[in-house]
Amino acid sequence: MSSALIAALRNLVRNRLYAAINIAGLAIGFSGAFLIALFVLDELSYDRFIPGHENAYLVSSSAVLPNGEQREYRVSSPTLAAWLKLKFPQVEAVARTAGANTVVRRGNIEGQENITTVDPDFFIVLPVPTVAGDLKNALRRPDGIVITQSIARKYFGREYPIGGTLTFGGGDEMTVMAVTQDMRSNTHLQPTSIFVSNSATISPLRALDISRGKTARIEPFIATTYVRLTPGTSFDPQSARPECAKAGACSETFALIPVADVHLHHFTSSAENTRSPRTTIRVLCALGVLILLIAAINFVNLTTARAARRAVEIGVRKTSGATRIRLIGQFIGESLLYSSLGAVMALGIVELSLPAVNAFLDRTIEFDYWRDPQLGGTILALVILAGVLAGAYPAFVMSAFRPAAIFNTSLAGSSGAGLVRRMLVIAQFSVLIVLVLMTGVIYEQIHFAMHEGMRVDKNQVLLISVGDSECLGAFRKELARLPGVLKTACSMNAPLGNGISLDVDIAGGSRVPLRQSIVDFEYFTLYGIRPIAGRLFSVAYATDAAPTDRESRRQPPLVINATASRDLGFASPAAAVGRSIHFPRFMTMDGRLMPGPAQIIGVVPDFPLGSIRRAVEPTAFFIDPVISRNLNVKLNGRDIPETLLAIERLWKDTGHSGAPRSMFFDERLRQLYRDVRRQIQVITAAAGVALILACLGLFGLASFIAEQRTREIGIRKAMGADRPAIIRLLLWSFSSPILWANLIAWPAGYYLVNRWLQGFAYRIELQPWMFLAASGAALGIALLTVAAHTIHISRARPVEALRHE
Amino acid sequence: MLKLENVSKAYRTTEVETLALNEVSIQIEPGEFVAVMGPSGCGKSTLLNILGLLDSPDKGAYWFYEEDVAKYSEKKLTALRRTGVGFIFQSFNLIDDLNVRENVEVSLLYRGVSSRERRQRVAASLERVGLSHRAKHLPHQLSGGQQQRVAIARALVADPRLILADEPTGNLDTENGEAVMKMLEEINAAGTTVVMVTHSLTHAERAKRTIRLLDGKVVSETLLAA
Repeated sequence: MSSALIAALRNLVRNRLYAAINIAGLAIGFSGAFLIALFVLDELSYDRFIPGHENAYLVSSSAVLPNGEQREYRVSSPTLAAWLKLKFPQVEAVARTAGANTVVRRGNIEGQENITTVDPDFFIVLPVPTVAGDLKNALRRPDGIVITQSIARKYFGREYPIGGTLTFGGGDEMTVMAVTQDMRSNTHLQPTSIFVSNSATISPLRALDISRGKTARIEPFIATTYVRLTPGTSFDPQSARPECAKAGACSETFALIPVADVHLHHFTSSAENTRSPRTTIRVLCALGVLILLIAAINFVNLTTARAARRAVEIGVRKTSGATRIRLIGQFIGESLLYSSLGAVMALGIVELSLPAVNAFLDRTIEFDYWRDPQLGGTILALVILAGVLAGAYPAFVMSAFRPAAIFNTSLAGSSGAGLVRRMLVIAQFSVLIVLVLMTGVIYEQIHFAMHEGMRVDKNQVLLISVGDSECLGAFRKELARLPGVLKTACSMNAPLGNGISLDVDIAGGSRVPLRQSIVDFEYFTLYGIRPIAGRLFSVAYATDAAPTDRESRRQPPLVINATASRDLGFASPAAAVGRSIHFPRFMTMDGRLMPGPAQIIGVVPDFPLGSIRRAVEPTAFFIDPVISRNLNVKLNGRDIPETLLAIERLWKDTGHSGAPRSMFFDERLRQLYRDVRRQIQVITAAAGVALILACLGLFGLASFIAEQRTREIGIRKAMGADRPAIIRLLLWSFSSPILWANLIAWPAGYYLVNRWLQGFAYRIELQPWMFLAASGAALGIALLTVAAHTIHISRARPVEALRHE
Repeated sequence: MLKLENVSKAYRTTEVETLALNEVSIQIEPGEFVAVMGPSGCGKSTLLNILGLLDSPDKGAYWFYEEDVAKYSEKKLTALRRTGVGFIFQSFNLIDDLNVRENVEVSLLYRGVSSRERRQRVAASLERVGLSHRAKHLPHQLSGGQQQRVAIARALVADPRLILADEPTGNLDTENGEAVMKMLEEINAAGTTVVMVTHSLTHAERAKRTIRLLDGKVVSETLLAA
């Protein structure tokens, strides 16, 4: 076997270029696959670092909206936890959490911190890794806090400041009882730097707990509830629900989700994200496999292409008695040598690129392959699998050479292997073209979604999150007077969210769903929307707003969109104006319906509310001044930093703490399509890797073909072919596999891209030019890759070319 | 008329410089049949390459009919070669992936001949070497003799003024070698100049003149009776 190893190593050294291309290709392929594997393992490892996570559950809640639509939420009633603890003996511990943020001070150090308020048993349910202190009892006292290591360093300059105190926004002195490790990125828990007891004044749950029993109403969807069950036990949440409701502990149905599954659980309440995180993992795995496949194809192609060079060695070994099995073993061994060298390089590449990848993904993925047997094993398995797969075919082809044939004729490489090589190159370029096409289409669609698709004037619009009735307060009044502010309008879910959709009875006994969107007087003008019939809301009409008295049965007038006008059966938008419909107004504050006749005063054109993944629905807009979540502020676009500062000052001056939660419309829109933007980045990266690999393979193959065809070029030149003729000939031979690849890539790409686009109600039309552009790009890059070789061979003097004989 | 005046050509590797041709002067008249002889490495093939415009001399002048082409660029040489020279090689030099018809056609591809005319001329040329029935075969499906006849058909199809044959019978048995020699004689009889490199004295005697080379120099010229 040592002679085989020597031959393999010498062969590697003698054919440095090919060896380098092979190893580099495998290294790039492995790097891509390793990074994807790391990401996928990270996705699958969520919350598994918590000891005993198998018995810890998040209690999700579901509500059925009046229209029958069911939504599942991460949060539940704050009263549910205590009831569960009392009712079920298998519940070892329960804990609720809620979020807050506040200013924290110690001496001169002051900062805004993410705070999670938790019940004292939180660390029994979820014992996060601790570095100091008694975690389990830390929050038994109301002024106890648990901080992370970074906070300890930031405020105390040391790792274990047990007993030290921090001052919170309201002036409360809090005592450090325990220090935990910094929160990892692979947890579904909110990013937190300080844990505070729910009995502290800062906790939003404290007031509710105190008032419990004084009001009959249950506030759903406030607290995140966790339970820890005795190992090996469970209970059926479905059957417990009626009793829970009867006890007044919950108004919703609830379910237990193992904490390790929360990250990948698809909560339907997030209307923006219609895709399950598991889909992303599947797509990534597929991309990883594709990248490895392309790298393996390169290896197969280059090895079989150069097989003829080793024909004599094979002939000699065979005449000396080597069996075919032995030779297959030798060649697979060689391929394992290459794949191991590639893997070693890949380990280096991954180590070097991981910080950047982590920063990009906002993760803290580690690459501890020597300590983590699962990761190390995965890598080893990938390397062996790739080595054997890539080596099997060449080994099979080369070991089949017949000694007599080798010694008698010049072996130009069997035409069978040549055909396989061609097919593999075609397969590679098919994948590449599909990836390029997908990148382009996703980019076009997201551009469409953020621009043409919106159909409203969203420039310089700042969205500020505000509380109910804030629209009637001083902040808004003063805001409208700031020099940089043109217009202000309040809204509930609009412009980028959806209200509830309820059925409306129309003539003939049928029902039409109508989405309800709460807006404000200036809302339409702020977004540049003009009526196509009737009028918009106006302060000149006192009755345009819903009554502030919650018991009043007067319905506010409605402005509807064009789709609603059509669905409600009006002959034209103008025909709708002045008509009344029986409108079941949803009272967001208390979840009641207030039905009654409402008059349509105007019709506006269709424009999307929220993501354009959903079609524009029939919508009725009305004004309810008491309810608002968004303050839409149109700026004049000059001196934006000054205007933003002025808004912040005003926010504080009107009795608010901290800075207002605000965001520009465009930014919010980008958030709305964050998953798509991630997709485009990941697919672009994968396409980039695939591109480099395909080019590397083509480069190697081109140098082989150049060498192989030198004689032919010489003959053609002797027959009078000039340089352009030779260049044309070679370019054609390199581009024909890419043209064939289109036959596979176009239908496959059309299917995939079209399926992806189905997720959008408003989407770009697939145009032939997109396919041509993707193929053109692949072709162009391929030709650039082989250009150097082509020019080099075409320059050779025929006599030199023929001397190769 | 082809005329070499004091032509020298050297090949260099990193370590040695080999003088393939050393101050060679020869003249070949139109319609001549010249044999070039000499031991291996004496410069025969280099001489043929220069005569056939596949290579340029380092020194000296080469009059290809009316022009001194010694300093011509590759582009100009290609243009001249395209119209005036046909080659026959010892190892046939057929393109593996093209069939017989396509191999012969290669000679016409770069001369701007219409495809219809190409078809006719290829057919006529294959007829002339007796291989019409093998037109669709690939080179490796033919015997050595047949492959060389294809190469001859390819050299003839463009109707060149000059045919250069580099050991055309070197890879063939006696019978096939004889057939090839007959064809060269016929070509020459039709008025085409033929220059042939050969190791075989018998074949050299079929030419009208023999030039002998040794170490890159012309050592003798023998005119044989017609």
